[in-house]
Amino acid sequence: MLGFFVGEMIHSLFLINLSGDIFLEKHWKSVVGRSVLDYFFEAKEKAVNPEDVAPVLQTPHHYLISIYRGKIFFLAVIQTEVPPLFVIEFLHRVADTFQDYFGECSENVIKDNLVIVYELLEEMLDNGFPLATESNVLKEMIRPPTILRSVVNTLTGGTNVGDMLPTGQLSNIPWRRAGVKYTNNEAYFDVIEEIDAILDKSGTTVFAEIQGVIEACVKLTGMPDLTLSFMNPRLLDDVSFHPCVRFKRWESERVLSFIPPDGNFTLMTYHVSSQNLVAIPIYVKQNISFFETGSCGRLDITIGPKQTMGKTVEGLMVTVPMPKAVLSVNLTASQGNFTYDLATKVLVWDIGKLNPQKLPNLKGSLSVQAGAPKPEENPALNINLKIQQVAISGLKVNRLDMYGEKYKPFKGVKYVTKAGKFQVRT
Amino acid sequence: MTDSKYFTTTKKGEIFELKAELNSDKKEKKKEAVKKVIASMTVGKDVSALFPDVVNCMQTDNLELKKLVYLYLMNYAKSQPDMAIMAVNTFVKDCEDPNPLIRALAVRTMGCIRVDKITEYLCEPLRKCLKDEDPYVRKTAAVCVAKLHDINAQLVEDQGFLDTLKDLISDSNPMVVANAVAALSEIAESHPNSNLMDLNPQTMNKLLTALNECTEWGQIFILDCLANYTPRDDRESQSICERVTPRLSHANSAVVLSAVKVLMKFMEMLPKDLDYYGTLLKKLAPPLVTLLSAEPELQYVALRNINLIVQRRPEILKHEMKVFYVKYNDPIYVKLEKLDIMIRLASQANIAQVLAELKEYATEVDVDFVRKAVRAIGRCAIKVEQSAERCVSTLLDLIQTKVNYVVQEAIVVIKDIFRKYPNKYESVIATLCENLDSLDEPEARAAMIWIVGEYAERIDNADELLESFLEGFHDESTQVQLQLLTAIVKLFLKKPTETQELVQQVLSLATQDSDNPDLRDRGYIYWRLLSTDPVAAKEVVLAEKPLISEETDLIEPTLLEELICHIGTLASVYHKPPSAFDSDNPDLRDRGYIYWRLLSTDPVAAKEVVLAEKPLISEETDLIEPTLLEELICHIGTLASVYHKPPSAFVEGNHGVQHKGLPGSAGSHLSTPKQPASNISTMGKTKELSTDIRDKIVDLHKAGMGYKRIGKQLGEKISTVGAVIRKWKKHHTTANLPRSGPPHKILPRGVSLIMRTVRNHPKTTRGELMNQLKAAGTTVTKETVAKGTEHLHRIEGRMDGAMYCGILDQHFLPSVRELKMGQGWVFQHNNDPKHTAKATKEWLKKKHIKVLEWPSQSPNLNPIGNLWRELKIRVAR
Repeated sequence: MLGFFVGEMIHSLFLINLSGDIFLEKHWKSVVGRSVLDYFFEAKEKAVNPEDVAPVLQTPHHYLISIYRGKIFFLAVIQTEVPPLFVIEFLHRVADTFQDYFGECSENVIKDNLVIVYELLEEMLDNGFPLATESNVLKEMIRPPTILRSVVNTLTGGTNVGDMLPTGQLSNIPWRRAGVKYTNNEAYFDVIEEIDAILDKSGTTVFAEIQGVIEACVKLTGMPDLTLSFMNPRLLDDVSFHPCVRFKRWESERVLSFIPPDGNFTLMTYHVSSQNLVAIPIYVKQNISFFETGSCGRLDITIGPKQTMGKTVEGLMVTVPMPKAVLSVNLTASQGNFTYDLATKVLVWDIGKLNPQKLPNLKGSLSVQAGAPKPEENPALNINLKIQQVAISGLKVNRLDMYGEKYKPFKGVKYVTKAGKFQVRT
Repeated sequence: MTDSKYFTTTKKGEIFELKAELNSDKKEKKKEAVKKVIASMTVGKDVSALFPDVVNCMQTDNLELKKLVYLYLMNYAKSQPDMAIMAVNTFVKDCEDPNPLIRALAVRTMGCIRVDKITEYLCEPLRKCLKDEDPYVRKTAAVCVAKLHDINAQLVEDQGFLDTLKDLISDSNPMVVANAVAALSEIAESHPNSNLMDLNPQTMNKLLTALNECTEWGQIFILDCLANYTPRDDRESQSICERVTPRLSHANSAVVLSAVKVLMKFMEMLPKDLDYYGTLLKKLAPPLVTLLSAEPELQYVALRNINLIVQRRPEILKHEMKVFYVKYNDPIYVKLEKLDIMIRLASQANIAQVLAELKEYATEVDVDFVRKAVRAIGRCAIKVEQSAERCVSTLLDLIQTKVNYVVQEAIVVIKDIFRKYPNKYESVIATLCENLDSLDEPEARAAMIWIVGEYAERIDNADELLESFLEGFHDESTQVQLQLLTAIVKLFLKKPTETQELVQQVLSLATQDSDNPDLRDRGYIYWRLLSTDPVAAKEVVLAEKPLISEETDLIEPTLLEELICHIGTLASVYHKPPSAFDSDNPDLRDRGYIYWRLLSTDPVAAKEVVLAEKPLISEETDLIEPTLLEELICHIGTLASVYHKPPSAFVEGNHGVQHKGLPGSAGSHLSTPKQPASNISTMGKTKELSTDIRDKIVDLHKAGMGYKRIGKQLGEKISTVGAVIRKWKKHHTTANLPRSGPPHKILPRGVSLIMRTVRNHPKTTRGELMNQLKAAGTTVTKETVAKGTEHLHRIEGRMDGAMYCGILDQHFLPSVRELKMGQGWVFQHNNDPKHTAKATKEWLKKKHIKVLEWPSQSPNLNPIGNLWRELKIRVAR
């Protein structure tokens, strides 16, 4: 594995908006001319949607690795053989950091905070080696711009930069700073599950799996050592942990043992694959058809509860990207509101709560451009939903114990199930 | 308070205003000014003129201001080296600061200033920082060694920094270890032969310990480093695997893929009957599946690597077909990759589900994807024999949809199925024929014509169908024309009575009214075959088609091996072998030799082999060559794994290695000694770029400019720019290369045959020579063999025009006299540069020698060239 160019992993970073303007560039070594981006723009031109630009592009001297987040392309210029996932992960981490610092990751917000952005990038990457990417650590070096802090800064002449060396960089537990103090000690865990599924025309499950994540908010004094155990840990097919989790304990006892970071963090993500039975909470009866003549079509969708674990399905929403030829819709919804966006040809039906006694139904006619051939493709329905207080996989937290500190923390676990990429083919 | 306000001052005096503010006495104002400068810098404005003023702000206790100035310095120090020296003292002072944050910042910034003069001053502070009590400073200093090495490698070695760096591998802090490993790997990359990373069991142990404790990025560095280690035995292999396996549960997908790489590599060393081997296999699947629920960009890289993994070890993911099912809102690049993997995983057990899915995809919106899905159905049919029937009926269903591009794609695919399973599914031909009129793409038309020709005896109106295509013959693409020609000849051989007129028509269209040499050549060959020996024609054209090997498209095992070792690298993304970038094509050479041998030993067999039409299509046409696959698997997770090219393909042009000059034409003169010489080429060679412009193109290219920009700047076409750059990359020159000229009429072997015969029996007649050559497969006229033996001249070194004239003077004219050729001869030679040199032309003129004009690259004066062309075309299929 030899690279001719010796150099860092990421040579330069460009932030590019949808119309192709470069609104930020950072070079870690020599300046790379913008002309290298021609290859990217060429690919962008060709792509129908911005999401369709391939993430790794080859040019005679460089590789361009990009991600698309918040209507911005984060594009890294690479000269050596580098693991592309390394770069992509890092770029996502940069976007996450912006999100975390500024509340959103958008062109405007980045332009409004250019200097902080620049400092952050400098702090995150040194000569191509990621330096500090943990949000906790970064926040001690460069404070985020809150309105309150800006006021205080102007009053006291204080700065955005901390001059204390972040302790996390030094200890063996880089994710937690020393000397944390709280008056109310609390630890909350949210078990969030998303169902990814494809149902076919007849309602049969073609594919289904569950992506789960446990988000934690831990505000505990000192150096607490926590142990979280599940009623049924064998459910999980694949798990990924925050670095704080001791993998050995999980391997041997199937418990999560860890010294938590301070504040919000993702404790673990897990995967329940299609081989286990994944419960599908609703069924969808639908019929979307177009007639050969008369330039119109019919639509009829009904949704009913299936395996809801005895809970109510909320936040139900159906999104249908219609064929381009569909000019307008003339529908009636028995419940909720619907909108049809003429520009994007997307039909959105916002239903809300699912009432098992009175099933929501949307039906009516679609008018198709006169003279246009009968649409060839079948639209797919995208479903959103939410079920509170249940993890659809059946995963349950058994108990949380704390060692190493004497106080009694307040503990809480919350469950919620959502639809992820939940599609119904027609 | 936002930073956008820094952009409000865009008027002309901006720089002056900033200058004034930077020199202000008020700290706040200074800081604001530096912020404005940085803000301008971030959007690519040139604020380098402010260098001295910004550097003046460096001496401050304000950490934020210091950081900002450092940011600025890193950006502009290169362009202002003398100014940068001004900052040295402050750097050195800051390296002694009690605050470790400032020490680290100073040493880090100094390393980023790529100015030779500064590096001298950097050594002492760097030495101290490498031994600093604070691990944060040490880990920053470790990276700094790599930076310094990049600027001045010799200095780093002389100062003994490499040894210090190696010592850091044993540091107590895992983050320092990780950075030391990263720095050493980077340095080792530029010094491939140095023994920097001395991987022994002790180091391995240190690395594996640090692996558990360092940051996610550090883990990637360490895992990539581990992948280069070769364990002593399977026990060590297993123990490393055991210690790496927990990384599969990391939240960072790059860590996971690097771990997969290490495991895939070390697994090779484990005995397959070991229990642990099976356990390990089972552990690999879930993390790979989980990667597919990540962001689409990550999915893409993961999929490219999974593509390698399933080729190497299909058992890992054989039960996971469903995770590769396409969701309609996946980005197109993810969809296409998933489709590819689905076909690789397709087997008899799951083919029903796969087909149902593929049929679903064939009604999607995205045309490219739909086409690929239809092709995928065909690949399934070829791969899983039991499913062929089902695939055909699925394709027929799709044809019924009458969606134009689906129908065309389906017909192309059905042709392939016919080629794999001859005489099995001709019942569908009638349905296909119904769609004849809707076909407008050349590939689909050619496929349909092939089918009609192949099954002409079973299609009643085959002649009418083919005739209908003939009407617009000259508007068709070459592909269709060639196919139509062959199909009609087939038809004629099968139903000679009714189609005489048709075949006559197509042959004259192909040979007389066409200026496409391919078509003309093929037309003539058929014509001659049909007119001389119809039985042989039948044998040749309608011959049983031999099967070709099944695995033509798998990645070559050795390459796959290498790529597997580089899972996760760029090479594994591109899946391409280094040879893909090699200059000459050994494939073609080898094939040439094979044909040559075949033709010279057994012309009959040669005919059978070469002229047998269309070999059956292989099931694995889209697989990566086994060796490449092997190599790519080693590179899982790398860029290479995305592009499925081996990592070595990413080495940018080896500037050090000069290409050997192409062999001079000495050899070619031996092989065509009798060619009566010469010509003055008048055939238009298009205007050549001057060497100046070509050099300029290469310079701009080196500067990292795109073809487009270069083209615009120099006013040349992009394709011209590309051609010059490609040539430069391949030959490291922009000068004209020796040109190859048309293929020799008599091949080297024929020449040596002539020479041998003549040497042994100087009295051999040309008729005898001709017959001998004919026996060896080359048909030439007596004249070509020449009127007896001309003097042979051994050429020393490289020949130029003057030398050529000398040869002609000393040998050629006496030969003419000796051979008593009289006045009625014409001299003929090809357009070799020395033949067309000014000196040569003048000499010929002076001697009043009649020269036959020789069009450039002319196949016509080279009758055998026609046959080679035909061979090449067929070979290429």
